[in-house]
Amino acid sequence: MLPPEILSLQQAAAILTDACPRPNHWQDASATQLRLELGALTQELQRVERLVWVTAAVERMLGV
Amino acid sequence: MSSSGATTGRRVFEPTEVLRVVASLEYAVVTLETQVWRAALLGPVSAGIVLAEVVTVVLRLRKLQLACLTALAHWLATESQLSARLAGLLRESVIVVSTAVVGAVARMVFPAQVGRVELQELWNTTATGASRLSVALDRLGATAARPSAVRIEESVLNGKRNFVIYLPGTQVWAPNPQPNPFNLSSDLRLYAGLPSAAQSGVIQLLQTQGIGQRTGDRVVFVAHSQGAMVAARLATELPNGTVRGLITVGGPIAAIGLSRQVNAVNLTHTLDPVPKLSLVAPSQSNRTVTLDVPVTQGASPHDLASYRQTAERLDRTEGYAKLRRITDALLAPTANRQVKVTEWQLTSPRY
Repeated sequence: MLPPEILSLQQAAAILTDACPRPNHWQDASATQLRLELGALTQELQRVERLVWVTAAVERMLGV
Repeated sequence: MSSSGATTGRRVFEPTEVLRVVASLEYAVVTLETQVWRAALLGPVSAGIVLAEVVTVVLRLRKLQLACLTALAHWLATESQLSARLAGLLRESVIVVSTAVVGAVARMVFPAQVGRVELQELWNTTATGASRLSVALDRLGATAARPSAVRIEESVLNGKRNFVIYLPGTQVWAPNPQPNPFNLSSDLRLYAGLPSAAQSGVIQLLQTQGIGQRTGDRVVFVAHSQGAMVAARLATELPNGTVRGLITVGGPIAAIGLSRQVNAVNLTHTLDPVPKLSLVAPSQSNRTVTLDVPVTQGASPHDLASYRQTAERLDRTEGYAKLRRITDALLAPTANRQVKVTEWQLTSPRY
């Protein structure tokens, strides 16, 4: 369970996964490139989410 | 082949799907923006990480939205079935979404740069006014070869001043603020209907030269691409009757509603995607003509030089009566008469 202050990152990653062009509606080189870019961005958001999660936990422990 | 899309072999392209993707990306952007506010709940280090990373992701999402719209514009250009395929509500949605996205990118990434521009007179001389489209485009080409230059030709006929003003297309594609007002920022801002350095620079030039301030002053713009957007916006914003007409090439101006008094010639190439970015079929009337013709083989569809070649071909070819009639009417007050020519350089402030 993520703390509410970083919930939006998780939501945004889920929205990006849903945003990928559907192959039966858009299938060409640009759609393929877009899927790759969106996949990379989703991973990027998940990385930021983990980083913020750890950093926020450390900050709480230190009482910052 | 689906009813709303195009399939060639394994290629499937439905414009509604592109709009769905663009809207989803917008939803993701809004969600991430709320995350920026929530960063206030975090400690200083994690808040800094969120701000730095989220802003980067939002910028990348905006770029992807633009890429989607470019793919849509390219499809419209190559399919050449704008009216048939994009009807009614869908067409309106495309226009609203594209101007909103481009406007959001322009506001976020590019400063307005609409302060006072510095005007420098490069040279002046006298010449004979252009009488044909290809000659006018020759002059526009010469002006566009100099950075941020605008050419003004002036003649007096029956006590009234007539001006032909030549405006170049985009000259600088760098994303950061530039001294040249005909830059990428002006491109996106003009497209989204926002104030831009190019438009405010040209307005300032007109004001300092007193153009349009005497009764009977008439202005005709000859412009390419971004210059065409500036010209069309000025035609709608300057006092009624000041702008007599536009001669534009490769201009995405079909969505800009011109007054009925304005005569307009817009020459476009079938494979030039830029004029199609306005995403509406150009209107035709007794006073306006948009001619969509194939580019000369091997030439780049959006280049001014290619449009110059096409104009020369049209000038030599029989037919095209409406194009010729409107062009001749626009150039008539200065054609083959002695005109005073001045070329100005515009420099944006605080770049």
